[in-house]
Amino acid sequence: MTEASFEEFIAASQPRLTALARSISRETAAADDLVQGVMEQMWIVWQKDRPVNPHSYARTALVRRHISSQRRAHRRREVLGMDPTDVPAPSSFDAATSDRWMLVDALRRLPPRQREVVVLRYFEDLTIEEVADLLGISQGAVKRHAHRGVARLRTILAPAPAPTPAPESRSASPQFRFSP
Amino acid sequence: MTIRQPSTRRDDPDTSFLAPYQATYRSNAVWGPEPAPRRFTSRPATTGRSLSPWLAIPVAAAAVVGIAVAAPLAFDRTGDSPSGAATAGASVDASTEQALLSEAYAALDPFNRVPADFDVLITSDGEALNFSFRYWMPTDEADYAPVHEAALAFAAEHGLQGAISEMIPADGWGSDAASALRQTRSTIDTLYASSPEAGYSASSQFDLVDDGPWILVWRTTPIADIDEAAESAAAAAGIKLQILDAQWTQTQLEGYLEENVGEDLGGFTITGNKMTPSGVILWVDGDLATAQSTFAETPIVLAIRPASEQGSNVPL
Repeated sequence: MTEASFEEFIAASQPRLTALARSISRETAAADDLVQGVMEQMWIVWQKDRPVNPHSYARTALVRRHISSQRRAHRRREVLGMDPTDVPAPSSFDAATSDRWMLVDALRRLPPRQREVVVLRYFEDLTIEEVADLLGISQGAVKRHAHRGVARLRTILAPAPAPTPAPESRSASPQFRFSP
Repeated sequence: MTIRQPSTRRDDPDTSFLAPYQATYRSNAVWGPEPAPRRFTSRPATTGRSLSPWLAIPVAAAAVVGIAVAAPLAFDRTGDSPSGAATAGASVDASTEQALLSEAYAALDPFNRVPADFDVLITSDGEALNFSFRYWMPTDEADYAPVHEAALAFAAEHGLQGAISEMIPADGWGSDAASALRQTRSTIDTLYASSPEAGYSASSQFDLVDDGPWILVWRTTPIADIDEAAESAAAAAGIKLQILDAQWTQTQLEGYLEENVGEDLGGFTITGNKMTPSGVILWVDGDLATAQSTFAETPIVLAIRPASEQGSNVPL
């Protein structure tokens, strides 16, 4: 029963945790490790005393693991931009996939704290108080990082200037940009 | 999925432009190329026997849910590199997964002496088995090629849908050195953790081909017994250790940078930083005088340099 309920939890929460992890981390592999580590932690917790809100519990655990890993980041060389293997083949783009990669790419261009605040506030829909508590910073800092982060995201995600109109076609959609 | 609305956004900027991205973010379907695993298999107890000591804790935890995990504390990697492989068509059950996992470890364990870490994850979506093999190796290509080939062969032999990841190896290094570095670093971490008043930070250096591994320790308050114990541990492992008196720990410096360094500071932009035991050096693009006056009363900022002089730095 415990195992079955845990599998249900994984099925429901893993994609959401993956989204969070890949959005606040600059490395896909590190993000996936975060999720995996949280799942291990959750299984241990699950057997002892299942949390009332397991997804919220897991989300908190994931963010704290991420922050902890950030503090060790000086041991590792920074990986800028997206991993080469993150970039899907253009032919495989559908609208959702394109948006996903554009979002991840844009988020990874933000400084770490801005990225964390923006993701938790506007994608995880946490309140300012919750974000402040989770990240261990003041509410004022949350607002400051949120404003700066959103301003920068707006710039990054803005549609590229329209190219010189060609007689036959013109693209109005934002173009995926990849920073090496 | 039910999306909870935030209680207030009075203090928020206009985020309407994020709407399509928020919808994408909340779509479970677009995250990850593989279906969410429905089953976490159990890692065979015997597979832990040959794993290195620093894997003991994660393996102990992973044994419960069947994921072998070893955080790559000191090494880069390239990320997942899906390799084309066959997909098993038959339905599988837990015992099949268990058996395959045992075989995977049996096949790959002999290589554990070579790579720094590896882990194997086999999951099932009810129709096919997914096989994930990852390793982090501080050694050269000649050493890790057999491991890679063994993983590919195992996946192919068992009709597994495989994903093989590899880590960028540190130039010219053998796994023994990396192992010693990790273990020594862990020992030193533990030593200083027992006295938080030491204000400790440490960094492992591992990419100096000629000079070998070394560990740099910063601590704000010298505690002789701990320093001596750290030196003994490093000497025993053949690791060079440098202990520096510091005004700030790296954690403090990183925290300062994360909290206080913005994008546009009015006339200049910070393009890079370097942490030192005495403070942080900032490289700025724009009005240097303004930047210097801005941080004149900030003790943690050691120096301001023009971006044109920027060399090795940590991108913000």
